[in-house]
Amino acid sequence: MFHRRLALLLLASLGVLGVLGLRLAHLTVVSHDTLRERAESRLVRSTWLPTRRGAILDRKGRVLASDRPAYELQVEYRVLDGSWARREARTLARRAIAEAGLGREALTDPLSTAFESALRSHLDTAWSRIAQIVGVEERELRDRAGDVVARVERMHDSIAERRERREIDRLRRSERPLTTGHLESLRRQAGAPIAEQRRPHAVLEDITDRAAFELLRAAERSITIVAELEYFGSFEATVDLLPGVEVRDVSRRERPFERVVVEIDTSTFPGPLRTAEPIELVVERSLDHLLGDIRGRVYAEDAQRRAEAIGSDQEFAARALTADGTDLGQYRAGDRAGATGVESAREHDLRGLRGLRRTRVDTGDRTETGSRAGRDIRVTVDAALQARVAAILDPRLGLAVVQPWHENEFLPLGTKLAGAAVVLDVDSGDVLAMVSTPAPFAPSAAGDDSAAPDDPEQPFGPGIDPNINRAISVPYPPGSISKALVAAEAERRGVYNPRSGIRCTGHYHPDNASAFRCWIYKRFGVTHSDDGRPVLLPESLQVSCNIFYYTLGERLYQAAGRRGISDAYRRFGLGAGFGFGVGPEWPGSIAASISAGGERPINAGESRLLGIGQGPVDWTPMHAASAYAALARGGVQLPPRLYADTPPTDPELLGIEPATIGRIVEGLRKAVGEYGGTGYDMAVDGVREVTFNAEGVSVWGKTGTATAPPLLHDFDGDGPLERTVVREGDHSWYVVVVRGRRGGPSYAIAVIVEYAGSGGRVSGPICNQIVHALAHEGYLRGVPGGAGEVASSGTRP
Amino acid sequence: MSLGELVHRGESGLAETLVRGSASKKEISIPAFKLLTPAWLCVGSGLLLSLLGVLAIDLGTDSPAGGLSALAWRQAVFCVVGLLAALVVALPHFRMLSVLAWPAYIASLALLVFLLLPFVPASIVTPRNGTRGWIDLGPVDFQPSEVAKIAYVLVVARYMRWRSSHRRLRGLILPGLIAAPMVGLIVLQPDLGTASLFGPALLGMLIAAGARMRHIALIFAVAALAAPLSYPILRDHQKTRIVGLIRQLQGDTSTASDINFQSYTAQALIGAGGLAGAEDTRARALVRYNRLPERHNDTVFAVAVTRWGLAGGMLLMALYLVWIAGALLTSAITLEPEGRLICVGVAGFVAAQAAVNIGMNLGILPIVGITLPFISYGGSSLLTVWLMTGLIMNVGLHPARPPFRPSFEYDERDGEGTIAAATGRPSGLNIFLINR
Repeated sequence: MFHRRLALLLLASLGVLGVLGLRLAHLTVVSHDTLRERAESRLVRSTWLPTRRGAILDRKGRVLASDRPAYELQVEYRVLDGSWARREARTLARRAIAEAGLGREALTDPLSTAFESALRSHLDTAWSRIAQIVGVEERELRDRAGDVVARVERMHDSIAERRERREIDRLRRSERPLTTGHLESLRRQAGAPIAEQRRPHAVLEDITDRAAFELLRAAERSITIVAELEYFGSFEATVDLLPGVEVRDVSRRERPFERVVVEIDTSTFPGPLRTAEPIELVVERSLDHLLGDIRGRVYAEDAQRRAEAIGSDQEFAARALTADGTDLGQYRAGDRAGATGVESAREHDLRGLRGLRRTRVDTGDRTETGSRAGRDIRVTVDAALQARVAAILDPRLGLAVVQPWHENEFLPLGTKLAGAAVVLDVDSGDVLAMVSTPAPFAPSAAGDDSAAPDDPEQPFGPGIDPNINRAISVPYPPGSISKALVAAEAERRGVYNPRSGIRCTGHYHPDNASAFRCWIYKRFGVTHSDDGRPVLLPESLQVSCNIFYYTLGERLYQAAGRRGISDAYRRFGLGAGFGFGVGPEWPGSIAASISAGGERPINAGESRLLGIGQGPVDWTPMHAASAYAALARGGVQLPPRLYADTPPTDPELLGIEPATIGRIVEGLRKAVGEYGGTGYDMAVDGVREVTFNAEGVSVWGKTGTATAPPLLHDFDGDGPLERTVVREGDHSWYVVVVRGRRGGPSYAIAVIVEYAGSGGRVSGPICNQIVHALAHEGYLRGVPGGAGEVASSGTRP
Repeated sequence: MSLGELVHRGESGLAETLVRGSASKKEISIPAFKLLTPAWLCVGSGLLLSLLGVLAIDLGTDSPAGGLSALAWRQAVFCVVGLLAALVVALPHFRMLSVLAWPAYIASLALLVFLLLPFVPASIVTPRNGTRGWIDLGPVDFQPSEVAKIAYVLVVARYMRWRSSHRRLRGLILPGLIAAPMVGLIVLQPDLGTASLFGPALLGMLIAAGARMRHIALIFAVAALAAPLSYPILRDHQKTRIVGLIRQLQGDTSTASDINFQSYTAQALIGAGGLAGAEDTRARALVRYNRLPERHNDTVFAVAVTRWGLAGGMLLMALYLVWIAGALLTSAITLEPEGRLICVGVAGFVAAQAAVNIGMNLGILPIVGITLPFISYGGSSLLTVWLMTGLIMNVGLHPARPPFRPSFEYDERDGEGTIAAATGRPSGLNIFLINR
């Protein structure tokens, strides 16, 4: 039996070793790859090298936004308030005890106490080491740390108090009995750490490159500390030489055109607004709608967007990825990312690629991929022109406030008027200026997206949101400015005979004098055909005859149903956005149907209304400028271009006869430049003044006074049902194409002023000043530019 | 002329007198040494393991270019010392050593008590990792609990050699009681790892000595029941450790930075070894930069697998199996009951120690802080396993001396504790083994 027992023991040993062997085989064969990767990851130390975000330049190479490198010493809050020592001591003790083997667990508490005191004295040396590196008195450094702790603690206390009060209120309302146990757990929950207590805080801003470098090097090192336990001897542990120390790249975005001083010569303004001396105006944030903002925080969506871009764009992937597929532009905690505007639209180009230094710790072999700065993005906008246009739209100059000669029926004198202006280069489609007033709110200094306060005071009064880019994202009814488009379509479809013309009857229906009236009949009781002659196309534009365009709307409907009038608009770009990516874009709509997701059928009456730019149609100033630029090109459509690096798009022929274009341009020239044209002149305090007064400039264009739905505002914020009308009346349009000497380049300008009433009287003078601004900036050939530069006067902090 | 030859020749009369123990030394002549013995398996595998140990220690320590590290050299020296010690122990007949069993036991207990005295200066008892287990002897440290293992095996073997009381449940108590003061003192150091080895060693000896399996099963059942019941009285840290081990086996890495750091790192390195291991410099770098704790000691197995892979790990385990088999075969061949138990006892210690150490390296047992026999760095540890090997050699080299009595041969079926061999004939296997 003894031998059987021995055999049994041998078998048992074999069994135990067999189990161990299986586990060994599992680790070495099945889990080999993951475990090897885990083990080998320790052999390679990766260091990211800083990079720079690309700049944004204007069409003349002026810097609109660029990075100024800066480093900041940040320290983890738990190191600042000293709680790190306690928690780290606990971890070290647990690890040391675990490594010593089972049975010493009772030592964990005394050992963590011993480690804690060792760590505290280590922290003391670390502070003096940091002070030495950055060249600041240790006392001062500690005072700063103390300030941070005091601030965060105050914050924590007030938040805890608020949480507690809220919870108690909630409990009271629920009418459940409050026990002391309840209260205690409630107090504990309320005292939970806040986010500020879990992240590093800046202790020293703007440290030198050299100090930053030395801190980074020291932060990589570690040191052995010893904890002594009486009777049980000493324990060692390895900790960072500078615990919780981070050197943050806090490069700032500088925007030289954030605040600019613009000198405006008011001698060409409407009479009462003229001053003897030019006015110097400080224009702020005129580029903000365009440039957008950067936030100091990254979201999961940023990384996702980047991954998608890399996945779909081979060229981009080749630029951003290393050989082993590491994305050098990957978002890391604390990175900045474009939030809005160009900063967001061109984020992937602007974002720099970090360098990556990989050191094999065992061999010391190094591979290094240098960092590459982000690409500079050049926009087609001219910053100086943009500032000038913003100044012109600024209520302080008086053009964009309600004035007596506006004859505004609804708004009191002096009301600030919101609006937008777009300037396009006709030849290229380049956006030279794109201004929306009021300018957006200034982002908070922190640069995160908690920028706008919850209920900011609206600078232009209630209901006027400054953060909307009115140049591209607000739907406006086109009004009379679309008459040129309707005329082009009518001749293209052959429903208008250029020789016969259309008789203006004052009202469209012979037996109904109260509907479909011409504006002149409505105001003066006369018609455009009182002399017996029918209205021809050029004249129809000059006098903006409604009956003429009701008729064309009707005829287009008879000829081609709803397509007839809708093509008139779509041909010139309505229905499509611009792909700028700088914010929401309104594509424009005509007879839009939500249920059908497209156009709904329209009837003859609607088609007639659409003929004069009213009814179910809307677009944006960018559409208007682009449409007139297409007319100026002789019927060639070219989408507006915002980025100088986008390849030019193929121009699209609109299929409009040159003769038609000729007649339309002649009409538009008369509308602006001849007596009797709706945009020719206006009465300012009883004196007739010509709208466009720039010498040597050829201007043609069209006014528009578009009936708009009233602006409602929900003052008490209790829902959309009880809203008050804050503004009503017509939107004021003026769209022109200007050119200096013959053969020079021409520009399309579209101006809209919301609820301002007459197109000619409000937008006209603004449009005129934009023409002067173009001349001033040297865009109009043969027209001398003015004196006085647009000067940068400061940057955003 | 050996007993086997006597039986083979059919001189059953003499054999029977020998077996009954009435023959005297004068009646037969027995050679002083029996050189052909399976105990050589232990020496051979022990040597190979020690050699691999020296190499593995060198891998885990920074060595000056081109040679073994200082630590590895020291281990090699310890190995030679161990071999000499084994030789010294192997030569005198173990019956003479057996006389020293109780004195050695008492001395061990005294040393273990000495370790715990609070006023002993740190220059004599230097605590390591919070354990008061070592006495500083100048150039080397001496670990009394290692010697205690050998003393314990000798005492239990001496106590049980002629007895059959362990066939009764009550008879199992006393061998256990012999272990109690030692285990208790070692737990107080505290060194649960070493203390936990006494159980398997005693169990091995009891099973070999013929304790009833149902009693053994009963003990296991009681222990299995007691284990979960004892969970509530464990300290919080100990609970954390157990929960941590289970979590880690389930793939949770939340404790990888503190309590499971060692195990987590060891497993990563073992996995990195793969089938055939990493080449020398790479293995060294992996071990070093993963900051494997105790890499020349408790986790030396992980280092060995990093370098030699699955093949190396299997080789190590096979060598342990050869060592255990050598001990058990030696035990099987000898007719001396005390020698039989000594072999089984030391085999129990070595097997348990190797299994627990490898198990914790592989992450299936908690880290208990014990060394890997023959491989781990340390004079006391190496000396002990070589002393154990010496004891096996001793048993293997010395032929049984009369009076012979068939020891630990019980009929599985009868419950009365009668001696099976009283029927007059050694069992077939016995004859086969004796003939060799």
